[in-house]
Amino acid sequence: MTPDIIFGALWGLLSSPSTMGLMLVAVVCGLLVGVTPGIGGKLSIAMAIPFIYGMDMIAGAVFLLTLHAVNGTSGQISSIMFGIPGDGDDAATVLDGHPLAKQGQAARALGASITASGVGGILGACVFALLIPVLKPLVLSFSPAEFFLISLLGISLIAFLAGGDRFVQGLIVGFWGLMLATVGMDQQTGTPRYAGDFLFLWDGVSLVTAVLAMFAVPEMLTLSARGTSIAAQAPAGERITYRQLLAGVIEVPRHWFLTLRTAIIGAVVGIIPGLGGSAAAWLCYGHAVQSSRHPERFGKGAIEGVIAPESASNAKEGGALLPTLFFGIPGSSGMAILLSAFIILGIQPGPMMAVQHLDVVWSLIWALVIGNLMAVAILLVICRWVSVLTFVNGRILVPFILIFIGLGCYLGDFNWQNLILLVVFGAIGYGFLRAGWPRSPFVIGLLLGPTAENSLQQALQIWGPGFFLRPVSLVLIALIVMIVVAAARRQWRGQARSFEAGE
Amino acid sequence: MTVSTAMTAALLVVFTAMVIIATGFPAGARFMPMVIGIPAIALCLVQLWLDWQQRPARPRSRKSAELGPHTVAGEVRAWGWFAAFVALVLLVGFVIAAPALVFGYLWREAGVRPWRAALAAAVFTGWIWGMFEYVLGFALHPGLWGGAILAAVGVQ
Repeated sequence: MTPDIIFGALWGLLSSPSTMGLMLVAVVCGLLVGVTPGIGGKLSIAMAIPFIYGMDMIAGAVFLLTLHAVNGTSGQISSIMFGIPGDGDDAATVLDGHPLAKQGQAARALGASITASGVGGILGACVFALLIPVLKPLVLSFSPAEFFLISLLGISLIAFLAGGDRFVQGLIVGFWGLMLATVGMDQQTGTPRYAGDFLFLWDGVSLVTAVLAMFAVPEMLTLSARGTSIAAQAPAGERITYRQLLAGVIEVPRHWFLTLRTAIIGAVVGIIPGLGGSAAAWLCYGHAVQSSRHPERFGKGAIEGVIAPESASNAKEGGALLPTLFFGIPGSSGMAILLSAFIILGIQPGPMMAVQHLDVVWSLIWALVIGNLMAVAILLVICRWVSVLTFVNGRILVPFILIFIGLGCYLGDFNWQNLILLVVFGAIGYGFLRAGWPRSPFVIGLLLGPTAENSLQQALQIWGPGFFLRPVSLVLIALIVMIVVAAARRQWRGQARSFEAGE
Repeated sequence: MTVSTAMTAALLVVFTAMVIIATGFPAGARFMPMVIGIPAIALCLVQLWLDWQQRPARPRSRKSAELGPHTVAGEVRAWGWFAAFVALVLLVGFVIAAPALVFGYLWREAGVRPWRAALAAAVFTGWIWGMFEYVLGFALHPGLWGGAILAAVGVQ
């Protein structure tokens, strides 16, 4: 890794007016989407997918990542002003942000949260950058024997962490993804598996269609079935002044050590697939309370209670890029859709990213930094007007999102049959959502399925069935066994508690 | 039966069918479906057993926290719009299906006045058409009869 690559990537972004223009569009769209109730990072990427076909790899990836990363920066406006979190990531901000607003300090809280969020995003990118030289030798030490086990480990870990007491369901969802990955022409024998006479299936199930069906369609249908605006529930907000906003901005350098600590915690939580942004925010809120000399102020309008969760929830985006890019394991459903969009652009996640495509990796890191800087600067200026968007009824956006989803899955390979698959897989994804099953393991299975199959075949050819006894394989197997044992213990304890409660 | 148990049962059927179909593939091709399918069937059976064990402890319809408040009628209507949109795209293409969905949904579901819904549909469709057909150079799906309908009204 040389300075040429690191700063070449930065120069590549800054010297390209079209890429910078795309980033500006992404920042503005991301902020507007973030503040609109019901439309999270997932749906914003789903809406952007039709526009990236044919785009340059780096420009497209930078556009999408920026769009995704700045969503959270504006998402806290409704948490602070109305006490209603836009999504789970912003829930911790309500505890102190809304009391501040009630005390007539909404603008101060907004200034602090926007700045903390931006700084957290930048620090998260820095943590990712610092970890590359540490992780590169580890990632490159994996042989074909390990890739099959990595996909099983990824599915187990996400099923365990994201599924709560639904570990087995998480595993089933992961195996469903792996099974769908076997559809299409088998490279070893030339047999079209499960494709029959349907030629469009010979290349396998369209990844974009499956991911949009599993994540975007259920979210959109839920929005349609539920969709109320915050305006229906919230009182009118107060006036936001620039003087108060600036007072809030200054709070972040005043609490620089807390911002730094919570950003690092957030980035580390982001690296662990399945924990998600709300875990990072709540963990860091708890940390801010514990490390404060006056914990009694929290919950009544402590500015640290706004800075800590916002810094953490945005820093996790930098951390989450690491497993997404180097292992193909998306840490969240937003990252899952982002990953499928990266594949459209020709970015193949995996260890080779650390060797052959470090320029792309560094471009994405710089995009996080520049995107967050732009987002903070723009949002501080326009937040007094943008807050009006929290009154938009999310249901109004449903038909537009639906059309973008349809376009996204058709334009991938111009197959109308993908639209039928969208409905079929959408029904399954909606069933998972309705039943409360974790959906992220599906993407790991579908994405890593072909790699896992090739790796398993290669490992069996090179080492025979004894490949499981290689040292790295044994470590991975031990980790999988530990996760399964921990999940079984949790399940057993839950059952015992239910029994004791006489249910 | 809860939604979760129904999902498990449905996936058990799917996995079993896929494993049975895989037995007809050549040895190399059936390897991976078997490696995945057999443990998946076992997992579904374990989950069904867990559901059966816990049936008194669980409420009859445990709803996802993600889903939030909603009505069954709202869900059915949402699915109806989605399925109708896809069917329309397949029959008459995006250029006709998109304004139909925007106008119909905004008017009937979102309570937007008909003239505003019509205006939104026209502007959005014009933008989509211009952006994809002319700026980006992608041909939108014309559907089975979409090309003929547009030609008949003199648009194409």
